[in-house]
Amino acid sequence: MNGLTHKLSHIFEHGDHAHIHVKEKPFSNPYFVGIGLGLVLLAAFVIMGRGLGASGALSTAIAVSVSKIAPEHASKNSFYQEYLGDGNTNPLKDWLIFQVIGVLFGGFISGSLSHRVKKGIEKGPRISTKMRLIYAFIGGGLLGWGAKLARGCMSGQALTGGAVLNLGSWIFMMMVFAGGYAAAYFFRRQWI
Amino acid sequence: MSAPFFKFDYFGTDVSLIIAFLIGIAFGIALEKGGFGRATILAAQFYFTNMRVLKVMFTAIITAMLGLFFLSVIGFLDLSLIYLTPTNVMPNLIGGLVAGVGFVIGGYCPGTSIVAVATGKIDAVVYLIGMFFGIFVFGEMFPSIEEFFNSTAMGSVTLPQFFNIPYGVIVFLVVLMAIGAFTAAEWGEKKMANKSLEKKV
Amino acid sequence: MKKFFSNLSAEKKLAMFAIALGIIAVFAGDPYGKNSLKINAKELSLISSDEIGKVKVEDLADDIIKSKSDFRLIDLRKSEEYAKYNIPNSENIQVDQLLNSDLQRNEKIILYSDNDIEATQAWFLLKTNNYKGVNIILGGLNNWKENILFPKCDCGENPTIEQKHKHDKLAAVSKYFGGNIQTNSSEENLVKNEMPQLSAPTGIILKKTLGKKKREGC
Repeated sequence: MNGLTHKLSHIFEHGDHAHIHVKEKPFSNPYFVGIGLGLVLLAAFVIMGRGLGASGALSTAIAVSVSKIAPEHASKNSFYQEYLGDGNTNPLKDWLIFQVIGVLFGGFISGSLSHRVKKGIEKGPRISTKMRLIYAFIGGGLLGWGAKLARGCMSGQALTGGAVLNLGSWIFMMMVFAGGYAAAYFFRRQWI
Repeated sequence: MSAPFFKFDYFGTDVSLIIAFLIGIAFGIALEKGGFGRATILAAQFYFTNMRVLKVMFTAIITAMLGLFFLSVIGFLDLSLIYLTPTNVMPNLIGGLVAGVGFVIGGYCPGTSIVAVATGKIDAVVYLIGMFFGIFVFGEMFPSIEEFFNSTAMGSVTLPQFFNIPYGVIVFLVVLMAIGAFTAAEWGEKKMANKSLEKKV
Repeated sequence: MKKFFSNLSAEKKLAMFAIALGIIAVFAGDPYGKNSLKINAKELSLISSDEIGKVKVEDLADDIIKSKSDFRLIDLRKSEEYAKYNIPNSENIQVDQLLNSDLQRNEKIILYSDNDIEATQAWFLLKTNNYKGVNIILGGLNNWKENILFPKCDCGENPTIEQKHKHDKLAAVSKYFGGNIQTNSSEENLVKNEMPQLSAPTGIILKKTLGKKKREGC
């Protein structure tokens, strides 16, 4: 299975670039990666008493931006206020922000070591680049909105919340799969 | 009982930020190695051609869950000090649905999109911009949906508490469910692989 | 049998290991076990009074005057009594609400009630729940009244310079908190004195942000 995926992706990238000499390393066994990820999560619990996350950092960034442009408006909005704190500490000195920056570095390090860092666009064979980017934007918007309503995203609610058997997190996780499978048929042209 | 370390004052906030960064790096490496920096792999989940997402995610969940459980039972970790995001049934439900649709359309989730940006994917950058926009819209809409946001609140509640079943039993059931899902996933992948081979013939 | 196991793929081995752990989990008991108070009686009896962190009223007064805010001062009395008078910068939390409050296990906590009894009870409660920085005010509020608000002065005929300094300091501290120094040490005076009126907190920040109370969601 890994070999097949590897060959397919090789073909697509070949189309975009004239030269391929460094072969990407195939992805590792998903179960072993899962154990690794689980251990990272466990480390976060044991060291910090909290799990991983991502959407929170993005929300902080938005809240800070809004407060710089329209401070009055931001201070009246309790959603932004939650991320801005009470003014005693810099809201950007946030655990999640530093964690997310780490993810950026980690992804790059791992990708570089496996020769998987390549400028490109991820998409299926039956869709144009333009449509893909439009969908990427829409998808991002929906996920951002939905994640904030549910108080978390896949990393925070599904992964972290799942491991601590949080009821709301399991509800969220199940609904994400439900929504995804329900919508999959309508967007199959984008991917397969 | 000495964990979680931060809550027992073994180090301060500034050190915790460095730790955040290091944990983030490990998180990013694990995600990238899992193939989560590729939208095609993430979306393949929903077409049964590549079930990596399910395998990695559930393996991670049961690894961490078992770790938490046994570390607590031996008294090393104080489970009650682990943060639990409050449960709000309807927001979790609706938010999950919307997020699921967004996942299939966009092809990423927040954490994986960052890994994808780190490996050069332009669609991930666009996705992130979309995410910022979505969060901004939510923020602006917040006053009108604040009531819904806080509705059907149940506080911080776990599955064992909700079903009134012992924690250990739920742990066992989750492990069974995960193994079952893995078996189904392997079977599904094989079927799809055979199908596509048949198509070629 | 051995051959069967060694022939299994790594993944199947992992799966069996996970299921085995799951089965053990069913019988392993309650992971929250440490939170129900199964205190070892012997341990409890061995906690000597030395271990109980005690804060002297004079030191507390000094800290408050210097606007030191690295601790949380908790008044354990009923809210009506708290409203009539409380030590500045204190928060009102009854003993039965302590575990529900937002007190953190790594903060410096100073407890007081009218005398030492309730404070010590609260100390034990918090200590057995792994709160590390718990202290009580020696003598409680009664001691505060006697020695800070309405201290007796050692006014002899010819005070030495030392005595004068001491007297002036006592007077100044007591004035700061709205009391006044007693010029003669009769019991009547102590009873007659009214508790100082609580003024609105002037510049004393009651809601302190302690770094560790930050948002922990994702």
